[in-house]
Amino acid sequence: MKILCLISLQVLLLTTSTAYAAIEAASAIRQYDDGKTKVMSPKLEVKGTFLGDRANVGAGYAMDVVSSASSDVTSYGTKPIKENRQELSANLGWLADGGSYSWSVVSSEENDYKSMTYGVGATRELFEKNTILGIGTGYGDDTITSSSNKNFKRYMTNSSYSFSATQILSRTAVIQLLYDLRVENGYLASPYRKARIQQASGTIIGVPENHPKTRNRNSVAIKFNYFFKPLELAFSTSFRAYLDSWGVTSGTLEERITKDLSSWLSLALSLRYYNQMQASFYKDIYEAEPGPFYTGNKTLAAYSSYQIGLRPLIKFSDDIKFYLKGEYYSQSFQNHTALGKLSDTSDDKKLKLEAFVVGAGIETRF
Amino acid sequence: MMYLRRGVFHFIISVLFASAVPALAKSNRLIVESDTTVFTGPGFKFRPLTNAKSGDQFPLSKKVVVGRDGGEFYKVLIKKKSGPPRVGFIPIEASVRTEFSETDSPVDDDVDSYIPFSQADTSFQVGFAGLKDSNFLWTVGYAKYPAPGLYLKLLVGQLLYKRAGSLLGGVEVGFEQSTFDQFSLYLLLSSGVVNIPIVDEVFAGSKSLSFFTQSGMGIRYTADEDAAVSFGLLQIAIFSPNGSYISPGAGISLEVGL
Repeated sequence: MKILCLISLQVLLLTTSTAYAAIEAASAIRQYDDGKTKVMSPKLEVKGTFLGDRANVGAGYAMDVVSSASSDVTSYGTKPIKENRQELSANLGWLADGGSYSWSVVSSEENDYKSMTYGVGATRELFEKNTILGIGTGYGDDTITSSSNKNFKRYMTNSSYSFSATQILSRTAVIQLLYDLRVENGYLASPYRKARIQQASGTIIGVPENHPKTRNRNSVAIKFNYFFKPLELAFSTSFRAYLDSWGVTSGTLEERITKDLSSWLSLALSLRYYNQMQASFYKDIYEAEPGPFYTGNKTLAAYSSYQIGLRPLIKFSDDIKFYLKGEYYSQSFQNHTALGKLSDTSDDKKLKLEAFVVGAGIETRF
Repeated sequence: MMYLRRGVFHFIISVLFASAVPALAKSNRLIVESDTTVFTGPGFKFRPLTNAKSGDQFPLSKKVVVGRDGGEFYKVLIKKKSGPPRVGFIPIEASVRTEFSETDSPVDDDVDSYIPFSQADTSFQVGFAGLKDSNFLWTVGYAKYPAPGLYLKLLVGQLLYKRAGSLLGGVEVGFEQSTFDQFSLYLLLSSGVVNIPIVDEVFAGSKSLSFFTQSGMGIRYTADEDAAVSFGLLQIAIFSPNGSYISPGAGISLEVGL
């Protein structure tokens, strides 16, 4: 009876303290269009904070509607593809004394790919919150099937680990160092992509790609945020270096400059440059004896890309914000060709993609 | 129910007395003048509880506590944003001042009525985990808490696979957050090297030198300053450029304060 009374009292206290709660909702839509592939991505996120902002619970829904007639698809006689990917996510956060904890689960599903990912993270504040350390980890299980082969079923497991250190340098400058490791194990190819192999006769054929069964990905990033007071400009600069066990190396440089033009309007300009060296086993066209691994994946080729974007944000009130987004994206491959007729190389040309990304979103707080 | 009735009776009596005669109660306070560390026990060998900032004020015990190593410490009460208050200890050499005052407000901060919960700042840990496909992992480690809620650990152990044990060694960083009295939540990340004695034992292509990374999360129960037990979920990845083995698991660890 005593225990029951105590439980009732605790429930009462908990109910009282949840009286202060806030709900935030954000919805956005984005469209990518490079002329041959179009991806429409709507998403909705809802987050509630409780216990005086100490706890939060969130949920999200996102979707990718893809229609593609890219050369990768049409060169192998496949019809233009149309597919949907749906993603559901839920997360829980807890603000503890001197740090925080978070848990998340994400489920993603399309007609030939399913994945479940579980994540947990924590931060620890040191030196009067001037230094914040963070660690995170995730575990995922993916199931890969093929819409053209009902008997095809493969699995991929991934395990990720991250460490970050954030340091406040001054009232207007913050620096952050991040390290990420992701180990992937299992089927890491695509049942649809084909590697091009030139036979002794000179004819080129497409064979299903064969990738190593593991890929260990490492990335190190440094981010620097700075507020330049004389012009009231906020700079967000980052550089990321990437290296994996397939020999892919890359560097990404990003800059975002934000300016409040008035109390209700702000403008953000973003620039991104990316350069990648190819995987050790990548070739645009393989010889008759291609070796143990061969691929048709253009993202394993050497290429560079840049992106420039503009995002005006309108603040209707402290609780309602609306933004538009426009981006131009260009990707130039050094050694991946856009296939014309598969058996003939005379109509091949270096692949170059140009895309426009437009989007809009609204963020509200109740 | 009897307890509840008695509690209500006490409450009514104290309200009546409080209304009738404003009592003057004694209140001791410690005011921090320069940033200092608050320890969980009276000694520098105890785990840091929190970092007190200049200007922070804490209820103070009338008695100065003498630690095992002869050092003298102020005994204060640390109130957290969540959970019950905890007793902390500040060395008397720290830049602090004490104040004694009489107040007519009820004193609910009698430091001596709280039991200290001291924790050693270094410990020896033994862990055992079950992995998928009936594989196991054991480790021993030396952990030190350099800051509140943060520990660093050196560890060695063995991955017990089907035919052989693979020796591993590495470092670990962990965050620990006291939640309810002696229970705390932890999240850890460790990484190091593994020596796999048999080629292809753990995964196709595994050679003698591979790497491991492990993460884990769970609950730790600290019995007293010298003993704790943890239960949690974990995952480990053993990998080299040739291949990898990823496994979720569950584990238990025992900790002895040094």
